Amino acid sequence: MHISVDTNDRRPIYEQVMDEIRNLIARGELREGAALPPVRQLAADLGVNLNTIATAYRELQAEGLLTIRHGSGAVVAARTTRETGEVSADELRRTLRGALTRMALAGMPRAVILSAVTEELRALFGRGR
Amino acid sequence: MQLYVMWFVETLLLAGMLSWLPVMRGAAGFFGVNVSPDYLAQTGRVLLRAYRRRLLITLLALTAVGMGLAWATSTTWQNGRLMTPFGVTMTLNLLAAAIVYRQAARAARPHAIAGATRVAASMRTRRLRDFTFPGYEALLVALTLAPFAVLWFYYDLLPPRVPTHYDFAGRPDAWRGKTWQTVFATPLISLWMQGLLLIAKYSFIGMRITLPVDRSEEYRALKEQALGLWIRGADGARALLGLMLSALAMNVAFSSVPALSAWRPVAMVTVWFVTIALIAGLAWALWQTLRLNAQMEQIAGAAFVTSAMEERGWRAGGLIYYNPADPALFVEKRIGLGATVNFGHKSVWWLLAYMALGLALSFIFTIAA
Repeated sequence: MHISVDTNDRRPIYEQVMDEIRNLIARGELREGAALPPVRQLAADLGVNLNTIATAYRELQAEGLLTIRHGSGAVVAARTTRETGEVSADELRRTLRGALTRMALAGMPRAVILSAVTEELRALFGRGR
Repeated sequence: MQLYVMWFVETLLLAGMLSWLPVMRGAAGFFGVNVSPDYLAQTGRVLLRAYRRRLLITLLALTAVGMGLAWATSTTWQNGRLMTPFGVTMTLNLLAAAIVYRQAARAARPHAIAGATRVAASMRTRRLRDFTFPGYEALLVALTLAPFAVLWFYYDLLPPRVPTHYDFAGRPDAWRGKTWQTVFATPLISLWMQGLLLIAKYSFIGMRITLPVDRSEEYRALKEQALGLWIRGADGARALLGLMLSALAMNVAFSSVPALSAWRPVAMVTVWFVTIALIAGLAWALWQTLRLNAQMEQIAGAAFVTSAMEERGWRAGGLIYYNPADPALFVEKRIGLGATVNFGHKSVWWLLAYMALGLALSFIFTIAA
């Protein structure tokens, strides 16, 4: 179970870390109650500043996905974010539309996009679902 | 004559070891920099040959001068003065080797390639308490403190001069006046060494594990296997060294108090056993590490993966790591095996203070006593 970051990615590193952790939680690889590595360990392993990881953990805590206890570190609090109540399904769908649009504009054929989406769904929900 | 032969052999061993160091990590650590395999195979090979030639000539020349001076001034082991030219020559050898190495590292540096822009990290936590067993720690504490108890109990029965060195058969061959420094030197050094090895264990647990993006889990499993080996090695070394130093410390009492004389052979057998076990353990750990490193190289092209941030921190041809921006206190060595400290980390001063404590203890218990 690992996360990866890319310094050539336009997204800030802390956002990449947040996305990766959300992905692990959504896929069930990080279950409720699972402890995350200490900020220092993850920052050292990824070769990034301490504050970058601390910010990612804090933002995920604000979303309701993590609980941070002083001395115990961060643990997974829930598999759903507080977003679902505050953000409508339309808004989330617009995010998906934006990503698919960028893929189409990059010249990816429909079949390739469909295959990519299917693979991501399988990774998130497992093969039988 | 025998000592001159040993002197020459030691010079050759030093040259051999220093010749191997720049390529111990392959292209990922060639003179401390990450170079491409193509560079290593062509220009790098020429640079390496020149380095080895210069190194060997320098070390042999310095050794020849040292030996010549020792011979000309009739310094011998018997008159007790041979260690001085030997010590001076070996020191100069190390300094000269550092200069030759640095020159070669400077030539290699422009060909360094940047660290990986895409890296991964495991989401498994690594904590000291996960590798700590209370029963084992209690045993080590008892082992380390036992000599204090024994020597304190028998202190008044010790003679005015106590043994401080033993020959290969365990018979005392050097004595000093009985003072608390002389009697408790070895147990205190043992206590300091336990602390040092605990720091080493912590360094392995806390060491950065940067993963390649491809085949991350496979690589992680091998890396954790290698680290597990070093962590267990540090624990093993604590037990063995604790046993040896306790035996040596208590041998002061065993050699001086008639009622305890039956324990003297036990102490010396223990010392010999531990010495053999340490050498065998070290050789086995080295072999296993090289085997695991070879497997990691197959996966990621190197036994370690470095980010661009880490690449910026290496100095002096990969011998020193200084990176205040890096939160890691310990990083994997670029040259050789094991870990090294990040001299730019704010906690490094505590570590250096602890090392200085060891030097201070040596001074107090040997020279000052």
